[in-house]
Amino acid sequence: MNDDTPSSQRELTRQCLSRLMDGDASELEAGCRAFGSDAAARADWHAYHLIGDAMRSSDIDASPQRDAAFLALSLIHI
Amino acid sequence: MTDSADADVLLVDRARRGEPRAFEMLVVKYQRRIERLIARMIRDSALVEDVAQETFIRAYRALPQFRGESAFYTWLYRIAVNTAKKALVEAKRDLLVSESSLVSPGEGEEPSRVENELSDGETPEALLASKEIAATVNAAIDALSDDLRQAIVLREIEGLSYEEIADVMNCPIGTVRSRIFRAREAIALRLRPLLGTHEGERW
Repeated sequence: MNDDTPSSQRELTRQCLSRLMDGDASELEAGCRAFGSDAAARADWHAYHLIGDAMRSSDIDASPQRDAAFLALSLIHI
Repeated sequence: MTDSADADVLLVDRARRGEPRAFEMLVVKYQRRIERLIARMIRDSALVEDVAQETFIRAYRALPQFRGESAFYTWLYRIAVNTAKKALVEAKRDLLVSESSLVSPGEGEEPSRVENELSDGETPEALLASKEIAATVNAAIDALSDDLRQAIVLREIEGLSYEEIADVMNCPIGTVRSRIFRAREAIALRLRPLLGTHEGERW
């Protein structure tokens, strides 16, 4: 499914998430929808936040598999 | 608009109105910070993970009571600290119980949880992965143009809003927005091979 996504759509989603994470309310709807329906969008949200965390600390353990497992465990209760 | 606490408000409101996915986005944002916070109180990395897990579960359940009087992250940090303290108290209690039930040394019992806490549970592989991620991000930032680097540093390290960055860099807010996005994408490009993204895989 994600291979068919045109690169311009991919780019638009990434811009949306970048703006949303910095507080742009106009991107809330589209950003949440993308996160919910698109694994690549979830990976982008994760990567963008990982960048900030890496910049703010000398080292962190943050493979997406590990973070995904963490989230999956949380979802059992959410 | 456009600082981290304000960004959280959008997602917190949405989560409170019954969209768990918005809370998931907050989990992804804060997971590593919460773990790092808890790791300063608890040394066993498996227990750190359990406590972090429990923190987010408790936060989700307590969301209806969160009224936004403090920032979401301070509220979340408070839950993390309290959950960690509780875990430490329970671990000490377990130690007292297990000591009283010890038959004799050398019976092959597993080390107590408190003993695990006192030793560092972090694997060499995890440490190497962390350092590689940090090194890759640092190298990518060094390779950015001055404008992109300045924008992303002001945002992520100094926590300035778009308006404040526009002020500092003497450029329009739209330019700030664009520079931050381009910086993130340039760094993410180098980071993605390390992360091995699982396209199409459900979380």
